[in-house]
Amino acid sequence: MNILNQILVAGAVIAASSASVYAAKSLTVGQVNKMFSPGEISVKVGDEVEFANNDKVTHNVMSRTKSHAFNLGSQKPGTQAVHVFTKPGDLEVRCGIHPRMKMKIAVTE
Amino acid sequence: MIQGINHRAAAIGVASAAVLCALAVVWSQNGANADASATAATQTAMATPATDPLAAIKSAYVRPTEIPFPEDNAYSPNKVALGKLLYFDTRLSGSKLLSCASCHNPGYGWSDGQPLAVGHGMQILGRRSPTILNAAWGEIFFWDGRADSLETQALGPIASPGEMNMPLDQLVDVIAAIPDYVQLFDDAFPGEGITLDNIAKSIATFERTVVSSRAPFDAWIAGDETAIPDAAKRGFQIFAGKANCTACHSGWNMTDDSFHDIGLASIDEGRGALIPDVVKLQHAFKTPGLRDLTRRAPYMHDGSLTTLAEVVDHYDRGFITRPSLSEDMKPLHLTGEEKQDLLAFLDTLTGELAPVVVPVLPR
Repeated sequence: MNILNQILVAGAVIAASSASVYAAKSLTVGQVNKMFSPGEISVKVGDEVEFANNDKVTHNVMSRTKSHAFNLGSQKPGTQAVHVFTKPGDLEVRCGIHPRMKMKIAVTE
Repeated sequence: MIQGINHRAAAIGVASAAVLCALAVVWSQNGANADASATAATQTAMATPATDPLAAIKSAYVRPTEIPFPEDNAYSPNKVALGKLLYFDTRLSGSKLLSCASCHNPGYGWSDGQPLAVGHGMQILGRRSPTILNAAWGEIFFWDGRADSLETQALGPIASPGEMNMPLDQLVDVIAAIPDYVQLFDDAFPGEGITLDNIAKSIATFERTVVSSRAPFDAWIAGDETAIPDAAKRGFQIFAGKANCTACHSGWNMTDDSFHDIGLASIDEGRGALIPDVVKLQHAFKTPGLRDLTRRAPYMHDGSLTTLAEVVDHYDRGFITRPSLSEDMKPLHLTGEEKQDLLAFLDTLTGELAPVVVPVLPR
């Protein structure tokens, strides 16, 4: 392979590896006193959010936002439930048992 | 300067009168007591926060001074008037005999006084008609929470074959065939015509104006120690303390708008039918509010408890223990006197109820 081709190949390898430089993050959202804390977060596609139940009662983290719906099921006090956000958009997340308990999640590319 | 103080006092007086007038207009549907009599009452025996050991608990029970209307369906007098007509109009049903008011009847505290609702063809339905009192402050609607807004809720019973049995694809034509409605919709929604959306929005706007009576409890919360008997004051402390009622019946409307299994002997899955994998939602129903309660028997989602004494006994030790039972339910071990005090408190949640005028329907 001549020098030019080697440089081009090297450039392609560097370009390919920098596309995966962003490492998906993991955030924690707490649930206490029948409230989400924080009440609003912004994440990127591929990020993982851990919903921690630090409350005294069972919660049920879910979203009914169209095309982003999910339901993490029954979550007892002291347990964690994880969701990975795979699509961009703005979601409203709510507790299925205590619907006044709400938060917003903005998912960006 | 004396002149400056007089101007300011006058301005405050005029502004207060304007606010009171506005409130009176918006709350006129339920005939709430005049604010003047409440003010006179509070001047007799005031409990100030500094001297009142219950001040902290009572602060969570102060009546709001405004009805909330959503941004996408703002209040207007034309919408309320149109919504009230639609609410009372039996032509919105397949049989021409049922309207919203049939099951949510102002004469019965905006329910129907029945243990279970009765629908199209006199069929007995599965659950009791909930009241629409204070719906403006509601978070989620129906016993199982399947509607997120009053606008979504409004069309449900209209379309339901067991209830008003009017298919939604016929509803607009039925209303448009009544000439008076055309102008009424234009007044409320200029240039938009008669649409399902506008039907729902006007009914919801009317419903938001339905607010519970100003009760003796409210006067006591505002500081008038003569407003309720001592038994009721003890009852409130039991309500907020030993009986743990405020775990779910919290705030001025006495509801957390959340879903709980309270151990009733009913096979109804409640919200569990919508969200099957969450144990605590099995047999779970939305906490109702307690305003005007003594006028709204029978009680529970199935009307299975006829008196408030039965309700108190249920919570004391009459409930079924099962995995879905709310974490806040536990045997209370109330004494006879404590039960009487609780009932005396619940009595104070009902004020003077005024009749509601049924409108002359469009032709």
